Amino acid sequence: MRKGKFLIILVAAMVLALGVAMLYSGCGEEKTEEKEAGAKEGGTFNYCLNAEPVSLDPAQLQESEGIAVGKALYDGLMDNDPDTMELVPAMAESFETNEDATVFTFKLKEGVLFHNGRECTAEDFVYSWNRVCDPATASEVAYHLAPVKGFDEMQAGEATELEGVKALDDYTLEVTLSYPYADFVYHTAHPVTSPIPKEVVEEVGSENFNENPVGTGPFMFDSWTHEQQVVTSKFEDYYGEPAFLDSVVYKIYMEEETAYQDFKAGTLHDCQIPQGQFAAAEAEFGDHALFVPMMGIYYYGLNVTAEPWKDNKELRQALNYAVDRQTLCDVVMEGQRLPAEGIVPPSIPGYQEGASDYTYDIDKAKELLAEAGYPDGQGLPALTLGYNTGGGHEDPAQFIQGNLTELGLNVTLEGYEWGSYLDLIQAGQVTFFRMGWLTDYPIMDNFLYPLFQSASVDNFTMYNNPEVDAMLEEARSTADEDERLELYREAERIILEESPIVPLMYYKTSRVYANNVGGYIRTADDLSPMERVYFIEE
Amino acid sequence: MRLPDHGGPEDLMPGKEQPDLLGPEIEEFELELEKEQIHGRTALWSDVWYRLRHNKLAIVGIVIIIVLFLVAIFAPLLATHDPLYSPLYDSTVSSAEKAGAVKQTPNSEHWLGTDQLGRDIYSRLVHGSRVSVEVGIVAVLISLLIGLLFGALAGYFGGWGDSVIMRSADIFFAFPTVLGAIVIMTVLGPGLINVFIAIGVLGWATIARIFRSSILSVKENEYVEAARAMGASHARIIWKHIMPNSIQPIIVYATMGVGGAILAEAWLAFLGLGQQLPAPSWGNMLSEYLVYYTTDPWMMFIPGTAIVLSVLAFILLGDGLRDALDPRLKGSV
Amino acid sequence: MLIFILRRLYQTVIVVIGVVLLLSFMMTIIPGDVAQMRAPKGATEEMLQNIREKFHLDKPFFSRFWIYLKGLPTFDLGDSFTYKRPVMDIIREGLPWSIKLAIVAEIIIIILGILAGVISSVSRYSFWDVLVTITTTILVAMPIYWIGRLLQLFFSQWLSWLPAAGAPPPGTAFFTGLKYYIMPAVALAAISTAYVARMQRSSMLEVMRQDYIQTARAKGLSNRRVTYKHGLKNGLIPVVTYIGIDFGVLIGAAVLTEIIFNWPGIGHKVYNAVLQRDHTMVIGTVFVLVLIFVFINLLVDISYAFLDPRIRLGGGQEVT
Repeated sequence: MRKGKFLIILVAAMVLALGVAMLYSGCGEEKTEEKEAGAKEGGTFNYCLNAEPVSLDPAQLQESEGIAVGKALYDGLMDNDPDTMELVPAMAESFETNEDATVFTFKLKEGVLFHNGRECTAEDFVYSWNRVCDPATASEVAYHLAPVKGFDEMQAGEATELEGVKALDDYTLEVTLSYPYADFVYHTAHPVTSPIPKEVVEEVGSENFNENPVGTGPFMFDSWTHEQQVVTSKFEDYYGEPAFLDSVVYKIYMEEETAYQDFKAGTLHDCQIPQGQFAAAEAEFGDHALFVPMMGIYYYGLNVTAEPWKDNKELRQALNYAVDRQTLCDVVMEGQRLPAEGIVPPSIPGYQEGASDYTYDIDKAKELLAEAGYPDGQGLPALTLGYNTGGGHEDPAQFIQGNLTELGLNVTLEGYEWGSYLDLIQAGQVTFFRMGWLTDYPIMDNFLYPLFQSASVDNFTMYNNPEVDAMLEEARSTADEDERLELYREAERIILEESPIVPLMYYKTSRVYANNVGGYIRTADDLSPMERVYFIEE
Repeated sequence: MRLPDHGGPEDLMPGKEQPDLLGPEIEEFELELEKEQIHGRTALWSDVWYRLRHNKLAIVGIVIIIVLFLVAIFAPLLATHDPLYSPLYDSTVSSAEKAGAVKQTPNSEHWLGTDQLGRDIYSRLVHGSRVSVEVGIVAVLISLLIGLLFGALAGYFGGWGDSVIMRSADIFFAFPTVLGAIVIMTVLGPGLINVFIAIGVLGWATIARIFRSSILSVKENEYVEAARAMGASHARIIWKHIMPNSIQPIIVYATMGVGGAILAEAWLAFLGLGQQLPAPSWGNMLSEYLVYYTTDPWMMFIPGTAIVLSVLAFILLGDGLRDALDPRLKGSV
Repeated sequence: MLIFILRRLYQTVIVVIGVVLLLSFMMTIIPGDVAQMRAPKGATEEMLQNIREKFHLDKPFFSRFWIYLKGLPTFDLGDSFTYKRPVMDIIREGLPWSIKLAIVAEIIIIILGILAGVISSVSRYSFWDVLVTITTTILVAMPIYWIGRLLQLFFSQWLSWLPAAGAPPPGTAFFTGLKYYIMPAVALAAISTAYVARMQRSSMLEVMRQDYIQTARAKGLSNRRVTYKHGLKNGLIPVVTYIGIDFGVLIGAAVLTEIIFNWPGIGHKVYNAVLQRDHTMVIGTVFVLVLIFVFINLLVDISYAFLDPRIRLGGGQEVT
């Protein structure tokens, strides 16, 4: 990095760090919610899960079901504001960043208790983070801590402790990263980084912690009847505002359709709305049907190293003008998706409207197709459009095929089963493929870096642009938020112009909740904080 | 072909291993069979047809099957629309029209309404009949090919080959059918050809068993001994003497198997392992419309009824054939 | 007799090993990288290799099969790739649900199937007979998942009588809990009920033609008495055999039913396991299912051999 620029960044980072620290200190108490009239304490909420959680051990929380329960059992240093997804402190009182965004110092709240009654201190974070990264734990989500110094050594079995995590005293935690990464604080809002008590892990054995989870969250674990339900109850000594509900029962369903029936019958207090019934649900449940834009993008990817996409930007752009996103979202998806003309969805700080000018314009598409060397599709070999079966991707796939046929292309569909799908894409056997991307954190980096950085494993389009790579690296080490976001926005525009993907839709949540329930919201990461929920007297 | 989720009673009854028709106790019938060898087969088959004609349910089955085949053959003529066309894809259609084009209830333009993508359900149904007919016939032919070959080898030659084949049949037989199909389909990948193979391969064991038992009961007969004494080749003996007298239970089973294969296509489609979209098949249609079973329940009844009627037809015909081939039941009428 | 049992036992073992071998082989050639599916985002080749080693995926097929086979006699089925718990634990949780559902289905099959069969055979070619014939044929001809959806539509969505799906939650009273069983059991029982009705009908008709029935009639016994005393009793034998064997089939056959009704049995577990490439889970579950199936068959065979000595002479050889 050049010296001059470094100095600017340094100053900017100091200013920012100071500002952030001031902003975050002492704003933890304003959590009191306005409750509706008739609200009452207590009650059991039956929450719908659409699969059995894989695990309740924070070191193994990965799929939405596990995280839904995990969020109730565990708290971390930071949290995302459920309404805006902005970062707010949880167990941390405040935090400070050093000048180049490599060292983060968290000041912890005092008197935070584990469910077993012991106070949680900085040492518990050190222990828990080490445990997540220990190869013996075999965590599949340890990557959340990958930026922490010593992570690679830990994973390789060369170290037994993360070099970058230290408890300076009981209430001060210092985290050192191996590279500058200002957005790292967002990682500490993920439940994988939550502290758990060492004595419980040692008592039950690390592998069985999954069945006996103890955390610092607003709800305590009671029981887990596999394939049926997870029962949790209110933690009275919660450090924050205690929950209104007495208990939350997470009911496990394998099928959305049947869960929805049970919701209507009153057995469940919330559930997913099955595909095909969004419009009907909106009509029936009004504002209790929650369609909130999520942190994810649904797109078709083009393998830019394979024919015919290789070195043919016009052809790729033609596809982007040929798909009718509005009809897809409004009619086929019954308004349950938002048309996507960019990569980063509106729920993410830094979102830019009009990141591209891809609208439905069949004439423009035909023009570009001719420019690409295939007037009216002549000379273009038959295309195979791949998608994975069983996830409701059939209708969008058929619709896109219809759009492209209208453009004059010869397209066949090929449905694959998820188990072999990713392999085929990576092996270059499927070069035009459906893909979705849901992010772990509400940051632009999490969309652009994994999908388009040339060395990233999730870069299925094999997109490789040194200019974009440099821009993304620079953004990561830019501490100034505005400057950083501007870099990401610029990278997004470049990528879209080059068209390695056909962005289609932004996901929306599709959740309904019962009439006698208040305080229920759905966040952009498709969760509902249970501590805010209460029943209403009828 | 075993029906999904269950084996038929024929497969599972120890007491029924020897099909009634050729049970050792029916001596008169065996005599009759021997006569057939001398007088030719026409007499018996005309008897069968005579009996079949008087079975009302079997006639219903035959009529449905004829209609099914006619629809499949003349599908392009019968269809009123392109089964793949949807106004949603059409750049000349206004967005207001697009919004109203989906899930229309039956009307004069769309006789059976439109589906979730605005396509004509009637035309898709008519074209989908082809898939059902193809699956039924091809899958059963595959089962027959494998089953008859192995059944004949096992039954006719006996010995260790018999043991190996029958143990393999046991293994296929003990395997839960639905799971077997799922595993085979995940190995092969979705697509119509693979549907043929999966259903076909899973059906061979039962056919081999039935055929083997039939052969066992026929091969000790005097006319077979006589042919053997006269120096006829194995192939000739099997083909000329054993086959005609052992094939009847297979015919019954295969007829019903066509129905079973049509049904199997439907549940493979439900699991996302069937015919590739957007080509219509009844299984695809049923599983697509099941999504709307609370909001638009009428949709699922269209492909559902088509599937039930055609499977029903093959079962009725199979039943009728069994009765017609079994003179004892005839005698007791 | 002992030799017969030993021979059947030996055949059973071969079938079980054969199923495991066949399945292991098919799981091996299924496309999809097991390690890749379980690897974290951004996993390195090294991490993938670790996962492969952990699941023995780096070893050649036969040595993997041998490792697996050694565990079978003690029901050590290995750990599930996805749930990271012993497969046997997961089966132990799911199997009772599958068995309970199969029992309720079996009760429905016995009551409805036999009743319908008797009615139609007693009044042959009457309205009732035709009705039974047609209904049973339609049931056999219906895709089971459609039956399930129709039941849900009528009894849950429109009439709100029964819960749409799921098993009774822990602590539910017996009769309230029974409500959860009705629809999945009916769907599961549909096809077998139809078969039993048809079999009962033809088997009773056959018995009624036998000489001793004619004799009984000639002796002046009332028609009713002949029908129920002799006809029903003897006509039941093959049906009861079928029902016995069908029980083993029902437990393993409920994949589609369990998916639709969200039943916590092992049917949909194993389906998901195939999709997740969870080799140990698929093979372990199918192993247990096949074991139950062949064991029930064996019991039926042996009791048959006791009842009918002719079978011991070889007639039963091709029966599994």
